[in-house]
Amino acid sequence: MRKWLTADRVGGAVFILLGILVLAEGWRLFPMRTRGIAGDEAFPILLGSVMVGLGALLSFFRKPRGGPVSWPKGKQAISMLQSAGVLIVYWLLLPYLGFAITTFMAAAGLFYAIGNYRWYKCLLYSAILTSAFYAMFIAWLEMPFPMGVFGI
Amino acid sequence: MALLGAFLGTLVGVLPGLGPTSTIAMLMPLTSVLSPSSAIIMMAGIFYGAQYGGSTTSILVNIPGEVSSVPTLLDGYPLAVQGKAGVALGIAAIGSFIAGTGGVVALSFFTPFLADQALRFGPPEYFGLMLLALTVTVSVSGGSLIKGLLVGAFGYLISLVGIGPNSGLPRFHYGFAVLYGGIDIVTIAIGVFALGEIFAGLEESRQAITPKKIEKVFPSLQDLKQTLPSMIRGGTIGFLLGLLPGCNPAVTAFISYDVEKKISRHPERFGKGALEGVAAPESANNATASAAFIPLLALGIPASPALAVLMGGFMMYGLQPGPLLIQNNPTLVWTIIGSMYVGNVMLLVLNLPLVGLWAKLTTVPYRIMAPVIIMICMIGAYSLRNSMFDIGMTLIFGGVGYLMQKYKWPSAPLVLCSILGPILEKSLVNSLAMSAGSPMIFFTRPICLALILAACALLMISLRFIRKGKREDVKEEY
Repeated sequence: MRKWLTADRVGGAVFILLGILVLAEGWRLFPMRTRGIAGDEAFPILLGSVMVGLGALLSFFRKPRGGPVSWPKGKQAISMLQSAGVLIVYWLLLPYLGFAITTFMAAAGLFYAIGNYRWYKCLLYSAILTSAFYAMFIAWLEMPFPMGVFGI
Repeated sequence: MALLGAFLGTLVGVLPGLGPTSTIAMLMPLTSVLSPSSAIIMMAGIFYGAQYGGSTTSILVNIPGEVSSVPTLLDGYPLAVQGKAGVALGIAAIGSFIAGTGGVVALSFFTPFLADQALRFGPPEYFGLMLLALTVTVSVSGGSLIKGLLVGAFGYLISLVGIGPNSGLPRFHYGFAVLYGGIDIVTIAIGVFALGEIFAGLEESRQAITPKKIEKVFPSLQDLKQTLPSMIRGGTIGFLLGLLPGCNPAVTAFISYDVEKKISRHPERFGKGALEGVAAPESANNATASAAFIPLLALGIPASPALAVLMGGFMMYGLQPGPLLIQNNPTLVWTIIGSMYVGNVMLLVLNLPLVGLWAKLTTVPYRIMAPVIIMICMIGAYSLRNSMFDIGMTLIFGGVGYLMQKYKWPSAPLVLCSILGPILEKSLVNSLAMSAGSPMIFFTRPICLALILAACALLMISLRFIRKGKREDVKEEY
C-alpha cells in the first residue's frame, strides 16, 4: 500500500477531490444562469472537469516520477517549526497586542529560531528592526496597522 | 517631483505587497499642496518607478516585489545564486530604461493613432489574447506538463473565489464572509515565492543567498550585446499589449519571457540563469507602464487599478482625462510626458550605481536576512487590504509553496493563471452576451481569430519543445 501511495498519486487524488468540490459549486450556481449564455457557473464547471480529468491521469495512468523526498531532520526541522510557530502566533496576536509589540516579539523569535543568537542579541536586533519598520510604515507612510490594547 | 516619484516608486516596487496603487492612494491627499502638474508627475513617477523596483527583490532574494516581476525571478535569482546578481540587476535596469524610454517616445508621437487602434479590441479579442497568454503556462510548467496544468487550474480556481462577475453572487465562500473579497494575487506570490523559498533556505541551512564571491558587478559590453535584442523585443511586446486597457504588466512580462525562450537557440538555459530571461520581462513591464498612459490620456480609460487612482488625481484637480484633455490642457499633458523622459533617466541613475550595493546584500548572512525578509513579507501582506485574512493566506501559501518545491511542482503557472483567470472569464461571458450565446463570435472577428490561431501555433511549438527536452533527457540517461 505504501509503495502504491506515491507523491504523484496523492497529488492527483487531492486534485480529484478539489475538482469534485469545484463541480459541486458550479452545480450550485447553475440555476442562476441566463439561458444560452455562460454565467458564473461556466468556469467552475470547466475547471472542475479539468482538475478531475488531469488528477485521474496523474494518479492512475501516468508512471510516477521522481525519487523519494527527504524531509528536514534535527536542527533544521526544529528551526523551521519554530519559525512557522512564530509566524502563526504573530498572526493571532497582531490585532490584540498591536503592530509594535507583536513585530518586536516575532522578530526576536525569528532571530532566535533562524539565527540561533543569544537572547540579548535577539532582543537588540529585534528592537532595531521594529524601530525601522515603525518609522517607515507607521510614522512616514501612516499605514493603518492595528494598535492593539496598548495603542502603540 | 519626477525624482521623488521615481524614488518612491522604486522603494514601493522593492517592498513586496506594497504596490503603486496603495502608495498613490496614500500620498494623494498630501499632494494637494502641489500644483496639478507636479502632483500628477510625482504619482506617474511612482507608477513606472515601481516596475523598476520590483526586479530588485526578485533577483536578489527570489521575492517578486511586484507581480510583474515574477518572470524575472525565474532566471534572475539563479543568476544571483551564481554570484551574478549585479549583472542581472544591471541588465534589468538598462532594459527597463531602454523599453521605458522607447515607450515614452511612442507615446509622444502616436497617442491618438494608437488609442484608436486599441478601441478595436472588444471582449472577444481580449479572450483571444488571454488564450495566447495561457500558452505560456505550458512553457513555465517545467518538466511536467500535467502538473503545470493542474497548478494553473488551481490558480484559476483561486481567482474565482469572491463575487461572481455575472450574477453578483459570492462563489466558493462556504459561509465565510471574509471570502467575499476574494484572495489577493499578491498574497499568493509572497507566500509561494518568498516564504516558500525562505523555508527551503532554512532546510538547506543556507549561509547566504550566494555562497560565491561576487565577481562581476556590472554587465559587460558582451552581456549588453547579448541581451539588447531581447530588450527591444520585450519592449515592443510590452508596449503593443500595454495599449490594451486591462492588460497589466504581469501578463506582458510572462508573454515576452515565453517568446524569448521559444526563439532562443538554447532554450534549456532558461530557468537556470539566462540573461535574456531577465532582460525581456523587465523591458516588457516597463514598456507596458508607459503604454498604459495612452488609453488614459487619449481615451480616459485607466488600464490598471493604479492608473484608476491616478485618474482620480486628475479629477481632483478638475481635469478629465480623455480626448479633450490634450486639446484643452496641452501644456499639462506634454509636461507629464516630458517628465516621463526625465523620470526614466533618473530611474537609471538611481538604480545603476546602486547595483553593487544591492548585489552585496546577497552575501549578508542568511540568519539575518531571513527574519528581515519574513517580517517585510508579513507587513507587505497586511498592507494590501489592511486585513489579517491576507496574512493568513500568505502563511498558507507559504506552506503550499514549500511543498511545491519539495515535490517539484511548478509555481509560476499558479501566479500566471490567477492573473489571467478574471480577465478570461469576464471576456468570455461578455463575448457570449454580445453574441446571444453563440460561440461563433470568436471565429468571425478577424483579430480574435488571428489571436486564437496564434495561440494554437504557440501551443504546438511549446509541446514540441517539451517533447524535444524529454528526448534529450532520455538520451543523456543512456
